[in-house]
Amino acid sequence: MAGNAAPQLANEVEATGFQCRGASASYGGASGAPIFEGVDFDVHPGEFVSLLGGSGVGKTTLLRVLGGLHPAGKGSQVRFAGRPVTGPPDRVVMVFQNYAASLLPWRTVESNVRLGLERKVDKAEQHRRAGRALEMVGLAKNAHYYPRQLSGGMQQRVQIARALVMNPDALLMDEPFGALDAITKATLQDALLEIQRQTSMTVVFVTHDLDEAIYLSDRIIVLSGSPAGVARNLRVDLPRDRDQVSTKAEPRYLELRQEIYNVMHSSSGKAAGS
Amino acid sequence: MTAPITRAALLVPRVNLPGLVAAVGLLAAWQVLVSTGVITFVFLPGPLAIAGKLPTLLGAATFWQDYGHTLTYSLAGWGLGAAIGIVVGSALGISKALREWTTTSLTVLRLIPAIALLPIAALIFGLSADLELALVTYVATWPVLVSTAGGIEKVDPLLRDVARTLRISRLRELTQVVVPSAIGPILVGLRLSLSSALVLAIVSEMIGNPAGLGNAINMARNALKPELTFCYIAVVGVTAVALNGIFNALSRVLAPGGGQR
Amino acid sequence: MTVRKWARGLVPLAVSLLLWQVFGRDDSLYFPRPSAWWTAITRQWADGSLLRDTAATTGRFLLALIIATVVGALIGFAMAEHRGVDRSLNPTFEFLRVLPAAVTVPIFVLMLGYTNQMAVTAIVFASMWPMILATRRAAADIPELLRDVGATLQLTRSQVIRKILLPSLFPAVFLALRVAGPITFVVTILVEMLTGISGTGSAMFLAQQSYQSATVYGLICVVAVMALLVDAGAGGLERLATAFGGTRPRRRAA
Repeated sequence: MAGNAAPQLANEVEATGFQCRGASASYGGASGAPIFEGVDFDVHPGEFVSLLGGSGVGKTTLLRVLGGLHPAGKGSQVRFAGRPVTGPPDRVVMVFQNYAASLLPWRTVESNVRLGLERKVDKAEQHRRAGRALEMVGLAKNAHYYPRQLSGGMQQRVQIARALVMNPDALLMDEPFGALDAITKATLQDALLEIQRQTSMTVVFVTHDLDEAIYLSDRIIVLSGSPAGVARNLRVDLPRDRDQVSTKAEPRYLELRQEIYNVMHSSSGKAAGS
Repeated sequence: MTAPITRAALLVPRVNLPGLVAAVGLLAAWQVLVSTGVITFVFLPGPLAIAGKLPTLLGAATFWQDYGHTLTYSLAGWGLGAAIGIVVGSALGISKALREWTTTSLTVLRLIPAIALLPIAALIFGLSADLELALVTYVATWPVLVSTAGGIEKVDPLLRDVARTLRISRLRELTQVVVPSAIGPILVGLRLSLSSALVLAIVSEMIGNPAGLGNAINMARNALKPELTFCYIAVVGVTAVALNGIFNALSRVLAPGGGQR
Repeated sequence: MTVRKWARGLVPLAVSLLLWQVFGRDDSLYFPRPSAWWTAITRQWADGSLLRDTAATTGRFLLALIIATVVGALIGFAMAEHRGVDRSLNPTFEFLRVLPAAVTVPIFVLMLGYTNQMAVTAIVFASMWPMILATRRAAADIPELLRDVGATLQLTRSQVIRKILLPSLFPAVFLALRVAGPITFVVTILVEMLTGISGTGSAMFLAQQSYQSATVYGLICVVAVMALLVDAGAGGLERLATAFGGTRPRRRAA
């Protein structure tokens, strides 16, 4: 059955988590065709949650709704840290799929990373935080390069550093590793897990890649149907210490994989919202 | 989400209401500025005065002779130039060796503005109709040549591989794969070429071959008749837009969804 | 392109000129040989007229280009930012763009006489529209994504304009110049030929009228050099633009 949606908003979820109740969204503002509806789920503080589904199902839109970049439909309740989301919420930053186009080509890596801090924090602090963020993503040596001089994987790290530098409570990631080759993807996945371990951030991660979702997450929300809805909301009960080889050989991993695969490819589509 | 698009619907443009309003508004503002005396150029009449002259102009037989002359030479030169452009452009597109040995030369020649060649053409052909035809043909050749060569050269290599793996003959590869792929760019070249042809026809009539609309505009200017000159401007503008529109409509019908824009 | 390939492509032209030189005659009315062109041009250089004319043409061209760029950038950008402005103005501008420059010049001659101001005004009027439309297209290509980036990083609207949109303006204008620059040059020559205002274009015309064909050919070469320089400059601007963020039109989907 679909997840553990509590009717009232518990305080623990409020702290730095998301809650959706009856969330919906449509194309072209409020009156177009619905993309998804009746979506209920919670994201607990510090949790790594994946939104999993096929191409075009609406997971990016859902993420953008959480990030305040797309309006939620009438009757939706979408909250972050207990407050309704009407615009990009404080302490929440989104990382986009098209890393190349999201960086400013006329600024160096370091300058790109500082973009969100300018005018909010003094110069010395900006440089300090940027330096730390770049170290966290392993790009300390490339601080003075321009984006076009970096590989795809490195550009995506710059984008992540730019988000980290804001000390966010939650990170929203839209298929960030989708355009990268398998090896770079694996490296960045592990880097992301390490970052999340160090910062205890909440992460909502959109992907269509089943393995990626299981590998990274504490919880997976499967979206399917048209208009889309929550087909499954399940906990990933694997040891939190993930490893690219051994985790994927665990029997429980294979079970989860089979279960989710069936959900994604079943013809019954979505379960009714709650 | 998509409704079926009929061929007829492709031919009828959607009406752009704000655009229409803005255009009318600008004309109205112009008229007001002239009528209230804010703008008093002796030679800048208001749109109403210009519109007033239009019926007289359109009623004159000489106007239609001039118009016919210009249109004929534009289209003739365009046709000739297009033919040359497609033939030469195809050769260039197909043969890498040919390209290597001629590209720089062609680029240098191409960049010389066609009007700069008018004096030479005038020396060779004299101030005659041949001058006009030659110049229009010359200017019409280049866009078609360039876009044909580019369109054929840049056919997706993947499609070539497909042809090879399906063991299609070289000739069929050319006619069934290469040429249809290149239609899009070729059409773009043809359209550019058409506008250039019209322009050069008028220019060569203004300073080379005293005939047609170009000559008529000169005479209107010499006779100090600004309303008439503006009428000619309007006529030429409408013709250019109409030619463009007809061409686009034809190419949508003949090659729907054709190639890259 | 490597220098070698570039040079190879020049062969047909070089060979043609060589053959012309060998088999041509100095006194041919229609086809004087290249050495005659050289003589004619050096004569023009010696009496100062070459420098004077090319300076006039170049000055006119640059002035008109700057004015057209500033006006074009302002209007083009406004159109790219506001859909309403864009929809209202676009049809009128598209109409004005297809008006051949040759046709509008007589009006300016009537209004402003045979002066340099008239020439510059006529050139600006003719090349403004391609500039506006090219800027608009280049500005619209600025990734929508960058605005989302500004939003998610909690930048204020003025910060988004200052840090993202305005710096993107330069590549956009450079890309527009790639297209509009050469057009402006052609219009400059055209205006000179139509009005007889002193400059390279009218010099060619005068030479033709006094049957000095070698001079005409020589001046064609001068114009060719100028055109190549304009094109090279425009190409350089385009490379600068794409290095710093402008997107090329007609790029293959990534």
